[in-house]
Amino acid sequence: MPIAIALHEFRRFIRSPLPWFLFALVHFLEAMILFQMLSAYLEQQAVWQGFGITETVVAGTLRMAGMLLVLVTPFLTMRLCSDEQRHGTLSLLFTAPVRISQVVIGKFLGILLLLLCSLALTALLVVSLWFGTAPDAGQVGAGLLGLFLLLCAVAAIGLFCSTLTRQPAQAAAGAFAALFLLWILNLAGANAGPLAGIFFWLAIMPHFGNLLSGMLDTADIAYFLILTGGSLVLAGWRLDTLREYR
Amino acid sequence: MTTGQALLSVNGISRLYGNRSAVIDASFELDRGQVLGLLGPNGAGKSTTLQMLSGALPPTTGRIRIGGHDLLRQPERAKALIGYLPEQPPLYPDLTVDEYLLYCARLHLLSGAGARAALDRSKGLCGLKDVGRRLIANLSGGYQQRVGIAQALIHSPALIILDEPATGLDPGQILELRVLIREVGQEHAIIMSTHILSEVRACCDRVQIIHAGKIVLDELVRDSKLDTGPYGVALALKNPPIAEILRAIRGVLNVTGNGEGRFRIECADPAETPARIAAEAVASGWGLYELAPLRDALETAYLRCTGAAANGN
Repeated sequence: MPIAIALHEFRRFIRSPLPWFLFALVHFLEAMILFQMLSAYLEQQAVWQGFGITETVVAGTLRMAGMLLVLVTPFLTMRLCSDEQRHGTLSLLFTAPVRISQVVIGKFLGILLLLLCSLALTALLVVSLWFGTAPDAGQVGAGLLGLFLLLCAVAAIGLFCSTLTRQPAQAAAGAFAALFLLWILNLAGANAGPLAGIFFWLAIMPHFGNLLSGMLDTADIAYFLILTGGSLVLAGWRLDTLREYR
Repeated sequence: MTTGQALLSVNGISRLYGNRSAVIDASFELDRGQVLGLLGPNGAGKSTTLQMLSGALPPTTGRIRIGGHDLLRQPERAKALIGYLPEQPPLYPDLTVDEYLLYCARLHLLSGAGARAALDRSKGLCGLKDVGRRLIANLSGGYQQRVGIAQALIHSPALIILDEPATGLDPGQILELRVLIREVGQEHAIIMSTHILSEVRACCDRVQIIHAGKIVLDELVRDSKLDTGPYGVALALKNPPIAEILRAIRGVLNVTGNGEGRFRIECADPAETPARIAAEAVASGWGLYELAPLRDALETAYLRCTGAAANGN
C-alpha cells in the first residue's frame, strides 16, 4: 500500500516541471563547484599539501550538494500534503482502507525516490573523478551515505511542514526556516556556554561533516534517523488531527 | 460478516463543530438493494452525515457499523466496503483518467489484473471509455464529476455514498446518472444527498429529510405517509367567476383566490379534478390560460419538514 502511494507521488512529481528545473539548477551548480575546486586543487598543490583529493574536492562538492538540496527540497515537499488539503483530495486517503502511517510512509518514500534520482546524479559526478585519479572509495561512500541521510531528514521535515498548512508556499517557508536553523545551529554551539554542547549536537553540520570526512559514527547516523523518524511521527499525528477536526 | 444484519447501521451519531451541532443523534439502517436519498436545505448537515458514514470524519458520539465492522474500531475492514464521492470530487488534475482510477483501485487493495478489470468496468459504467488517456485537468466539469463517480464505484463497494452526484452534469448526463444509480442500486446500497426533489423521486427507494442536523422524516418514497396534503393546482383565468362557483365543481376541496384571476385549488383527485375544472372553464368561457400542478407529495413533505413557508410558493 505505501508503495502505491509512493509511486503515485513520484509520478505526480515528474509530471510537474518544478523538480526538473530545480535539479537542473542544482546539478549545474554542483558541476561548477566540482570543476572550480578541482582546478584550484591542481593549480595550488602547495596550499593543499598533505590533503588528498577526497577530503578536499569530493567532500567539498558533497557539502555544497547537501546545502543546495536543503535550499531546494522544501519547494518539492511543500505540495505533498498542502495541495491535498487545498483540493480536498485528502478525503480519498481518509476514506480508503489505508492507515495514516501507510500514508505518511508512502508520501515519504515518494519524495525520497525523487531525491534519490538527484543523489544518483551527484554520485556520478563524484565517480567521474576516477577517470583521472583514485579517490578513497570508503570516504566517498561515507560522504554519499551522509548526503542520503541528510536527504531523508530534509524530506521528512518538509513532509511534516506540508501537513501543517494548506498554503504550499507557507509549507516551503516553514521547512526552509527549520532546516536553515538546524544548518547554522552549531554556530551557537561555538561559543562556550552551558547549552553549547546541546546546540552543537542538534545542528546538522557537525554530523554531516563527520560523515563527509569518512567517519562512520553510529551517533551521527542515529541523529539523522531520529530527525527523520521524529518528523514522520509528527506528520502522522498532524494528519490524524486533520481528519478529526476539519 | 454476520448475516441477517443490515449492511449499514448507524446508531445515534452526532457531530459537533466547536459548540455548534451539525448532526444530532442520527440513527438508521440501510440494506443492499436500497437507494436512500438525503434531502435537506443547504447547511442542514447532509454532507457532515455523509462524511461521517464514509469514515472521513469521526462522529463526536455514536457508532457506525458497516457489514458488521465498527467504522472506528476496525476502520480498514469497514472502509474496504465503502465508495465515497465527496461534494468536491477528490481529483488530481495532473493525472490521466486511467492513472487516477488505477491509483484509486490500488488504494482499495486491488492490484494487477484485478485493478485493470475494475478500471474497465467502472469506465464502462460511467461513460469514460473514450477519455481514459486524457488529463483530468482538461476534462469538462461533467466529465470530472463522472470520474469522481467512477472513483467511488471502482472497487465494487457494498455501500456507495454520493454527495450531490448530479452537480455539474447537464440534463442528459443527469438522466444517465439516474439509470446508473438504479442499475448499481440493484445489488449495492446507495446513499445520495441532493437538494433536487425530482432526483429523489427518480432514483430513490427511500428518502430522509434532514433539517438543522436532525432526521425529521424517514420514509419509503412510495409510502402513503408522504401524501400528507391534498394535491393542488394553480389556475389562472381571464374572466374569473366567483370562488363559490369553482368550489361547486365536483372534486374541488378548497379554493383560494388572489382576486386577480389566480386561484389555488386543492383537488380530491390529481387527474379527474383538474380535467373537470378545465372542461368547466372552457364551457363557461372563463378564459383559461394557465393550469399547473402546485407541488407533489414529496415537495409538500419537504416544505413541511424543513419549516419553509408551507403555504408559500
